[in-house]
Amino acid sequence: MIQQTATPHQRSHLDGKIIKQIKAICGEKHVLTSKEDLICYGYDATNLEGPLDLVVFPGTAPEISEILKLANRNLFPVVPRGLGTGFTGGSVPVQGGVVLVLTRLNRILEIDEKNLIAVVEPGVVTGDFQKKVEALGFYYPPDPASQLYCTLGGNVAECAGGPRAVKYGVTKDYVLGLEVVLPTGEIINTGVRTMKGVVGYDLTKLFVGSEGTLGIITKIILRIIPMPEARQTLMVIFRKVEDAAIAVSKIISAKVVPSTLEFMDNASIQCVEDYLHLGLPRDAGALLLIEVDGDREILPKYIQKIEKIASELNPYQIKVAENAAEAETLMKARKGLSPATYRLNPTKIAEDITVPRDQIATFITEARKIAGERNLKIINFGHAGDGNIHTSLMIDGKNEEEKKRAAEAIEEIFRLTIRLGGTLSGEHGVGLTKAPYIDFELGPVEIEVMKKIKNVLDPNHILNPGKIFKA
Amino acid sequence: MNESETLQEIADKCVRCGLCQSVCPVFAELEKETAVARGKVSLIRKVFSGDAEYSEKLSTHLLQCLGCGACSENCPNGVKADELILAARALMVEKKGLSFPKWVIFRKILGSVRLFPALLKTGSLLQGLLLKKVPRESGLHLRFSLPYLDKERLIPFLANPFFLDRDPKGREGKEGQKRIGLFVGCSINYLFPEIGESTVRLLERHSFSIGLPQNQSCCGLPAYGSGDLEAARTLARRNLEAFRSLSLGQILVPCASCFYFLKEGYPKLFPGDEEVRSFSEKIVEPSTFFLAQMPAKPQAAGSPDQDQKIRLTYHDPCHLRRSMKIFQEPRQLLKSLPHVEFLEMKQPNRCCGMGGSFNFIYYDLSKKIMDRKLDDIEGTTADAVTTSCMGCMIQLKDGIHSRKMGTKVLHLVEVLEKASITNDQ
Repeated sequence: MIQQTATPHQRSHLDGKIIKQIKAICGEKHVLTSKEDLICYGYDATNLEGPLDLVVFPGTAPEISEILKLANRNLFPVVPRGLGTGFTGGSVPVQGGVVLVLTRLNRILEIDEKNLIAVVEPGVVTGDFQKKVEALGFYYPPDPASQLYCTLGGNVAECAGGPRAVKYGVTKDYVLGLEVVLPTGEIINTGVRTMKGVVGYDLTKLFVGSEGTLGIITKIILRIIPMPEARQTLMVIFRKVEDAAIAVSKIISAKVVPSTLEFMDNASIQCVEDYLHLGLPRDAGALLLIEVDGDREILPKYIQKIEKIASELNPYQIKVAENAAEAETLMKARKGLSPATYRLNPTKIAEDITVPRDQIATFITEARKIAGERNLKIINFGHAGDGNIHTSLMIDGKNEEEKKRAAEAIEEIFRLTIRLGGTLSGEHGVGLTKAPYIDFELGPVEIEVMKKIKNVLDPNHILNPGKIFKA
Repeated sequence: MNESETLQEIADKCVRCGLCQSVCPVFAELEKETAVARGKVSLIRKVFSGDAEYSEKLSTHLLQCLGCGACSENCPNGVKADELILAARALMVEKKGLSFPKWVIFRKILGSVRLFPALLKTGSLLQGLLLKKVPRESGLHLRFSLPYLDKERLIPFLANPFFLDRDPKGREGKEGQKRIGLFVGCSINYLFPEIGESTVRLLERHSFSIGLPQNQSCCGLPAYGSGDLEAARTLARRNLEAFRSLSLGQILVPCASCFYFLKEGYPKLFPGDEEVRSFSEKIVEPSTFFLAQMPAKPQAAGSPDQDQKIRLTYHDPCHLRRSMKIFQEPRQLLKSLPHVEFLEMKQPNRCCGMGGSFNFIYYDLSKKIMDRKLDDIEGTTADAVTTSCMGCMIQLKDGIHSRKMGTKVLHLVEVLEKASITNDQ
């Protein structure tokens, strides 16, 4: 076991001297210490809160290096943060110290059209970057739901995914290289500016998805691809949830890879219907929202194939959008779902488990049983194309007894996921919320290897302590 | 706000997803969590739970909000953050009292029937001493900077005489005509009486007789926005009283912000009060009102030559678009005018940055926010930008002047009135 140096009582509060030094490094106006400011940097989209002593907005990698060196000398935690939109508490401080916000590093440094790469700083908003490359006819596919208000740095640190992952993969499939400030202050460069590169260990992949525990990313070399010429959307409403799952498998084995294959179960359909009154059949077992993209000529062929597969399953309805406006109307069901869920109950425990695609139906049936036995409201929706299901328990967060039942259910759902050959997290990461469960999926030796890596890079455990591993 | 939804419930509803960061104009400039709804809601929660106080800092963060409502409009979870922030300002005033300058302004000046007009009257006589006229512009510059007033700021003339001091009897039409009330508000009364005159002429052309009580006063929104509910109620009561004896079916309010407050704000100030509710039901604003007055089929006046057309863009006042969901009506009206070529700007519903007293407390920030609006206006290459909120007009005039853009700023009624003349000819 590693030495847990990162326990609260061993940490000294940041004293005035350290605060002064941080101000000297980054400039007084880029350091916040008032109680009100600290309240506003202790949470992320999990709605969890933690304590902190100072917020700093560094402007360069060398400044970050200086802060990390100072942290090692004085043993205070440093928690990197982008726009605080993570779903597992990755940027929530747990042991006080410094929250280091990367939003000042927000330049798109380069878009190299000849080599199809872009170089960006971590504070660039994902959606801004996408808009920029799309204007040039290129495409950066990873599309987490928060793309308009999350940063590329955060996406890399968590290895964010999104609906397009089914065809285009996730963030790690687009990161070619990084500039990283190590926890001990050295600034390193990993990876390449080329499509290939196998010299040495793949340090780039090590940092992608490391959740801010191994280093602070200060520059990202991204791969971009040509923009697909056209896209088309259709919605299929099934009588039984199993039929939707069969359709997913058949579409994939028919060698059609949709650019989006979103799934909503009956509870999700009811929920969104109560809210938006779209006219969806309330007794439908599930629906699929499918988007295909590519050259204009090939799309009708894809659509026909999918229609044929779906119609053999005796669905309620198949709706093909004839234009962008119609596509938008179909997508409304999926986009309106998130707000609609809160009509069931005020608190959402949202997981992002992923199972092999042919296990989706089994997972949903079993997960509903688990929730039902404990009298909990559950909805299942998500990226069926890649088996990534957002299974969500809707509870009353103020009801302690219900919270306990929900925790039990989540544990059972995680065990189920592993039994079916899946993973606890497809795209949100471990952070704080999944840390108690990582040994469901990882063996003791695997965990030990990871901890050794952590120890080598961050011997004093100053960087984002309390994350990923069980306390 | 859902009537049954308490402030605590609004605050608890925020799941802190962070979406508001992508729509908040203040966050776009400051890039600090305390600037955006998620941060402000978090602070208010801490105050409610007793873990934070109504401190100076908190006051700053609460005031650093335009009240534009972009967060609430886009919140996936339906959190009415703008209303929560306003309510927190009021609680703050209740707990800590008003700042001295605001106390003087809301309680002693705005709240006084005689003092406010008298002060401004003196001002209108003396403005030449403090201010110098700006060529080509209907406005003034300070000869030297004052606190809250930057030297470069374009300050509108104080009218002489004020709109409400002008022959009120002349507005009364003939016996048997349709009657309508007119609530003018401070900006039109003291600064832009020509918009009041335009409104009167337009109503007269539609054969209305106008009820215009001279003792109407400020709508009360500035006080409400600063959390001074007491002053807001005093002013509201005065306006109710001013219109009471006229027994009118409808009262037209040309300024979008005054309109919003009379229509939506008054019933909230006096929950359950029947007279207030029926007063608020009578309140109408120009775009919906004049759209209803338009003939079903526009007269075939013949389309004017291209070079006689005025190229117009429209800026959505937050109080009209976000609070009242009125945004199609003004466009429908403008597009129906034969002499108007309508040009939509990129983000017509983005706040101009005025935000009432926000503009005075945070002038530089307010200007930065406006810069994006000016870029949008410039992008349309329109001859004029039209809107219906007096706050937006003051802000846009200041910005367009400092950028030397030459774009005219017109109130919707001015455009409609000009169109009605063209039609008559």
